[in-house]
Amino acid sequence: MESGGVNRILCIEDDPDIQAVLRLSLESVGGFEVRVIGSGFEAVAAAMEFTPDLILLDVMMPGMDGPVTLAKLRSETSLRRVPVVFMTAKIQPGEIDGYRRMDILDVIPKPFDPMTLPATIAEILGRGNVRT
Amino acid sequence: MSEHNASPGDRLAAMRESYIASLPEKVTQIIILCKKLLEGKPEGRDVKELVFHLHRLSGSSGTYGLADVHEHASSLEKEIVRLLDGKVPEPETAGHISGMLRELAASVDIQVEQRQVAPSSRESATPAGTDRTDHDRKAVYLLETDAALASDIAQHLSFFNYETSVYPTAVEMEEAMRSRLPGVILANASFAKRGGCLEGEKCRYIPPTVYLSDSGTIETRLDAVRAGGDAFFTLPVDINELVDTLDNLSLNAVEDPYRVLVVEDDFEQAMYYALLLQQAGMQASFLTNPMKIMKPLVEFLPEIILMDIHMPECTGAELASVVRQQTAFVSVPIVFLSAEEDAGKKLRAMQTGGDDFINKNIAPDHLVTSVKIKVERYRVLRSFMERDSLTGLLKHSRIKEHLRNEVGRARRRGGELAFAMIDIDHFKRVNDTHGHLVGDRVLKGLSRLLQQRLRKTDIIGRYGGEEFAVIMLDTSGRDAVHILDGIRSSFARIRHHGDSGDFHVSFSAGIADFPRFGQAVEINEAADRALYAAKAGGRNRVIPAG
Repeated sequence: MESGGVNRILCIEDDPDIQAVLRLSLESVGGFEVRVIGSGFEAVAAAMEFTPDLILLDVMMPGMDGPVTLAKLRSETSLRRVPVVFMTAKIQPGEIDGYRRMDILDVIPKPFDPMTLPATIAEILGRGNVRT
Repeated sequence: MSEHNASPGDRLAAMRESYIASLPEKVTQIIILCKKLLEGKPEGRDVKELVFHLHRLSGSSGTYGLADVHEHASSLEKEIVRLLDGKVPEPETAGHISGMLRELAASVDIQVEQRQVAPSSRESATPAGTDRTDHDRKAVYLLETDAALASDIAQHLSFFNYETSVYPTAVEMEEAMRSRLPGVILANASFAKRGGCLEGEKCRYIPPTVYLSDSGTIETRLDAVRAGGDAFFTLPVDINELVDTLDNLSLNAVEDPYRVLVVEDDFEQAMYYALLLQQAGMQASFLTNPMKIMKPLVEFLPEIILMDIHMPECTGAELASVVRQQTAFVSVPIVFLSAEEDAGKKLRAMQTGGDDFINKNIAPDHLVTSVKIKVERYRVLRSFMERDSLTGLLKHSRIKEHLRNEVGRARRRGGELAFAMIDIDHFKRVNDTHGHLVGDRVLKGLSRLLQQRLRKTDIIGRYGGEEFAVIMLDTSGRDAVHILDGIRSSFARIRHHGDSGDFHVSFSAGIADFPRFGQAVEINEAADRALYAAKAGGRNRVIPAG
């Protein structure tokens, strides 16, 4: 699978049910090395340690949501360039457009299909390479 | 290991199944919060929490491909989000929300039902002899420096499906406990002298601990108690007694969940009661049409029935009479749910066979407690009526009744079953040589071995004296012979302790199966003949009916 040299993915997702599917999808279907954490609070520390090639970030999380987590990540010099992809359920029209203006690669709508998620990521990364 | 061999698709399917099993609990929380909201008394955080739960449910159900649940959860979420400002919903909105909630609950129900149908058909597809006990294996950590003694205990425990790991030092055992906790720790009492076999700082939870010692002196026992020991045995240890204690201490002694049937014509109410009880760990099923009670009655076998007193099709009192007319359900507690205050009306309803009244406005935890108390008492009463006092197995008459019922069920479904008659060899000699107390221990030992090694769904009874009977559901005669022969070989290797020395005992068994023998009586006779053949052929063997 053409994944633009991406091997390690950090997932930030609070729902344990979805965490399990993400792991299965990205590890077993996509062949990535995956680290899953449950909240934005751990994001910076986990990203510094795991040095992911890509971060999948859930938008609606209790305590610290996706955009705030993104800002925290970007405030660290070493994490400024790590590509981030949001995952969100379409709640309000226009919400996704708002996210696209942030410093992220793309938005993956929820619910996602675990069997095709790796392909979606590969496609986003392909485009990302062209852009940078 | 096997997890990694399965394809991602298979693993996803397995995850989906356990996700579906968790749905009723998730929806319960939503229903409880929604009810608060609709009753106009939500606290600020309740609405937020409700949105949070709905959001999660919508996201996760969609991910697992449950489109229906996802749709209903996300439209309800959108509706509730509008109430985040603390407004009390208008009556019209409230009606709308309650309708959506009902649809959501129904969509979950469909998934749960489909799931319940699916696994049972798959279960019968796996051969009965394979793997039936592996997932029930209980872990025991044995701290013992004497390697020969340790391996002897480990082998004996393995007959009863306990999986023993032996550690010669406390340090090694503590190391192992960091990755996996056992159900029980067995430790030589010499470790108790050093203030407990574990320092305790390295792991927060210490499993129940049983101390073993060569000497039964009061000092050693005291050391064991002071070290936090839960039980104490002197060596050589009687395996039956040890297993008895392990069963009580390990989590596997947990009882089956209570089975509650709710009969209530109002869907939302019925769902609410059922989910409330499910949340308390019970197995609750509900029925909105009282005319359909017969099927759940015989198939679900409720241990208590909660019944609305006013229903359009028939009253609770009438329905109670119908239930009571069947001998099998004469003693099942029936509790009426009602807002009735009139004592005279209540009394009349009780005369028809109801046991008690519960006010519909009862606090949720009071309802749960009240149901628990009644089922507990019902279980005790039933066990007196149905079970043998020495072994706790079903009595002769009950096992025969079960055989008739199960043969009928297998015939209707086109299934199969096996029936085994088991008799301990030369049991009279055991009693004569070692006395009745030791003989009783052997009987208890065999009953425990059968309970540990057979599936939970298999039916085990004591036929009388030293004779036992087993009904193995969805099992062919061939598989049954294979399984029982394994148990026979374990039983023969168990060393029993008598005052005049150690000894071994064996058993013989005869097996007959349905549909080869079509009637319960025929199966019974054929198994009896096979047992006779096993005895005549030299005992300590399992023979299928010819």
